[in-house]
Amino acid sequence: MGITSCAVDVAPGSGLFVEHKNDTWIAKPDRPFGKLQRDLYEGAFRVDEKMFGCTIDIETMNDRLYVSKSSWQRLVDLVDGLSLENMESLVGQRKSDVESFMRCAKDAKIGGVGFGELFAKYESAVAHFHFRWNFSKAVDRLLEAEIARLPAQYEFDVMLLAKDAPPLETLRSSEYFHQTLQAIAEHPDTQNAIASSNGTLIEVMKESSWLWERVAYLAENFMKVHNEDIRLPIPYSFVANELRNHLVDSYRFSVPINAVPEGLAEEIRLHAGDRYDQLIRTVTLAAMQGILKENEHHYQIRGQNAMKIKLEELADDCVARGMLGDRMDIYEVGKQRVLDLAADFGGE
Amino acid sequence: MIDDIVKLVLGGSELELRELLHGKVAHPGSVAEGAYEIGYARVVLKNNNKLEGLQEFKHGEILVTRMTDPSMENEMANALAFVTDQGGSTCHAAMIARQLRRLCIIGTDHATERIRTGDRIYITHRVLNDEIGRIRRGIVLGGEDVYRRP
Repeated sequence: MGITSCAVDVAPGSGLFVEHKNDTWIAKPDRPFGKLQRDLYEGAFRVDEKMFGCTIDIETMNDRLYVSKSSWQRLVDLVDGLSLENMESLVGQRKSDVESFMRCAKDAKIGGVGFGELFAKYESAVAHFHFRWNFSKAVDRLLEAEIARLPAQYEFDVMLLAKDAPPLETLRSSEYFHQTLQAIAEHPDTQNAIASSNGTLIEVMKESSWLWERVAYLAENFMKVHNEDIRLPIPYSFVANELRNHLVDSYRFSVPINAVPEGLAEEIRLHAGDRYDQLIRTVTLAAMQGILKENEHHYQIRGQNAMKIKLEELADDCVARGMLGDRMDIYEVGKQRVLDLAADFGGE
Repeated sequence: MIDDIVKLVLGGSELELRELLHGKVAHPGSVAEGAYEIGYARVVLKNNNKLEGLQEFKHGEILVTRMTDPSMENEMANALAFVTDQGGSTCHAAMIARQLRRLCIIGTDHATERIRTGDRIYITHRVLNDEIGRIRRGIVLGGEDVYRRP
């Protein structure tokens, strides 16, 4: 069952999967991770096994985690076969698991049971991320079947009837980014200093505490760089440069329009008849899972950054006590070793 | 491959355009059925986790990419429309298009191959009926060098 040859990209253009060339294994995710994160992602697949009552074959090669195509297909088939009730239940669980991970990442203590609980919650959250793409496609099919029964003029506005859909984090990030640009424009001295900074952009921004707080908020809470590798630095420089690059252009933030047209619900109720409740449940499910799918990119990074700060605090303690050679080693020693090190945190 | 030639009269001039792509309409924006949204394309491609073409994006361009993602947020807020190779009714592009009420065509399969940055493209949508039932089809026209940005 071992993998002996190199991984090749066999999904042209998608960038979603890297498969082993014997066509038996899929790298999930499609990028290498350190051992700690590989262990946590493998733990997440074990959560998926319990969630769906199936087994998932996993191998590691070249710092990537591979899942056998046959076991992956079994999982996809199970996702495809979910009823509306199952899907609603799974979305509720997913929301709760992800929120629980983010809370724990913020509050967890390094010593005691802190990291053990944090890692378990991270695995539960990532377990949902593993199949969200396929889950989304299954929901799309339900949604399209419901919408096809309505007259064409309602097919887009019907989504406005979704209940309790949370805001999109992407738009919240965009709005905050543009408010920051406006705030800079109201401080001409700061704006000039940023424009003329040459290799000292970070220092210039740190001189204005209000501005640095905004840069840190954007970098720590939103997915600014499309890579969930926890080893990567928090992208303060990326955000600082992005702000500087957009200071001189004519970017505007367009405020979303979400108003539900008057009488829409009544009109659609007339057309949907007995299916109205089913339609609204499906639309709500689709909106909720679609927004979660996008927001989770940001939530994962937000939780991971909080986790990263604690991990590096532990790493610094271990380096000072000669238990690690370098702080970055914390990402390569594996989950159990991190838990052992955390148990000794602050010791002699 | 779609090779249909469409004659379009715009501003008193007759244009001969080629149908480049079909896809699913995630949102019609403010464009009525059969009317056209017209703009210059900006093709953004992911390469080694970097989004090539994103930094050069200009306000009011049409964003063309395989799949949008949250790191394109600023550009999407300022795009005239989005065209993607992949995605379904609840993909990222569809979600943002509904929020921002932008014309968005998803699942075209080949947008990033057939459209180049700087191409002037024309996007419309129509309700069609086929054997499966009613579908709304997004159509992208253009592709001639003469219509590229000067």
